[in-house]
Amino acid sequence: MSIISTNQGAGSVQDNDHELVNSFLAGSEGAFNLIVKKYQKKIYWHARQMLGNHLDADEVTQEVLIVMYNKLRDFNFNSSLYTWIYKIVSTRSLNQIRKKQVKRFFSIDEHEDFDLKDNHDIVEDIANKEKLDKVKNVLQKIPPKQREIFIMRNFDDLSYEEISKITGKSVGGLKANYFHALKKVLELTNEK
Amino acid sequence: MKNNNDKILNYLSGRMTGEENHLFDKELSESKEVKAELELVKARLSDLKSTSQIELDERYFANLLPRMFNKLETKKKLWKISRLYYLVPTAAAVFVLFLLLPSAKNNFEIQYGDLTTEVINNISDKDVSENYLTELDNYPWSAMLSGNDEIALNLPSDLNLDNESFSKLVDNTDREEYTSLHNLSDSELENIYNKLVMKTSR
Repeated sequence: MSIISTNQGAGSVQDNDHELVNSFLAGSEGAFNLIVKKYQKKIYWHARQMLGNHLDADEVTQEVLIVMYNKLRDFNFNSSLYTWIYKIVSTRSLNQIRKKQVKRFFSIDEHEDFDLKDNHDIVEDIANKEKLDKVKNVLQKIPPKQREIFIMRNFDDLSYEEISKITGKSVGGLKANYFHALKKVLELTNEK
Repeated sequence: MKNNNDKILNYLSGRMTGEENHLFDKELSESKEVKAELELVKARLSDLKSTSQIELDERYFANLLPRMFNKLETKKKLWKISRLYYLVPTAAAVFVLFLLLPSAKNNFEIQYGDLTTEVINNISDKDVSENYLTELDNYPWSAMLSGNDEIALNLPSDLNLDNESFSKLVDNTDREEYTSLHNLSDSELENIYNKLVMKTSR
């Protein structure tokens, strides 16, 4: 199963991660642009759902692209490219959450607001914004690790085996995490 | 109801065994209530999922790569600047050491040189030849050991060496006695050696 969908037909260069990576390693900046084009929305959405706002998601998305650009030379196809990218997104998103928690912990002002205001959100439609806010309110109440599994299962349609490769956790542990996440999500959506 | 809810969650999260799964499938086909509950849960999850299909501003994605490269450049510059924080003080420290260390050496040499010059200037050639050189000729060992009690104490007392003997022992001028051995032929040297061996072996 693949989470990737592209506008190009099967067999085209864009569909072939191996060829794109090799082209990039051979010096083609265009190949990197194609890789980014292919995965940028997946990266952004994962970060956005994990972090709950556009500005944090934007920061993580850019960091992920920088890591990809710098580390793609070390990529050896032991896993698929999207698994590798997902690992980076997952790590960076969790790091961003931890950074904010640390900031909150050391904050003098208890009421200081660390949740960035989405003045420059890239969702323009008001109805869509409201929908996103509802999802955010639910997801942000789940512990980050459970949230991550829930997003990968429910939003990205990843199998437990794929999530296991990304997170390094056992399938049994992931199932338990997803069970608890589901339970909380249903309780929270029931309240509304 | 709560029992059904847990069953549904176990079913959706794939925690059921094969047999439990089979039994739940059977229950679903027989109970409209359980099936409705499952459909409700699925609908709520699907509703959440639909938000990931929301249309995003494409200008953001069109501008993403140029912004990423700008950020990359900025990071590189910051990295270079951050290196300067370490390099500048290190270079300054090395420079200061470079300035201080040779000057300290020079000061020492200058002071030492001044002292030597002063001593030489205050002692006449006559004093040197009459006192110091004569003393060295007569008692080279005492000149060497003067003020050095440690060496004097280390001399074995049972040697019963008088000044003259000890003087010969340490004085370089007595080297002639040893050098005269070099003038002997091999047979003469062997003869002397054999006589010495015979005497010492008795």
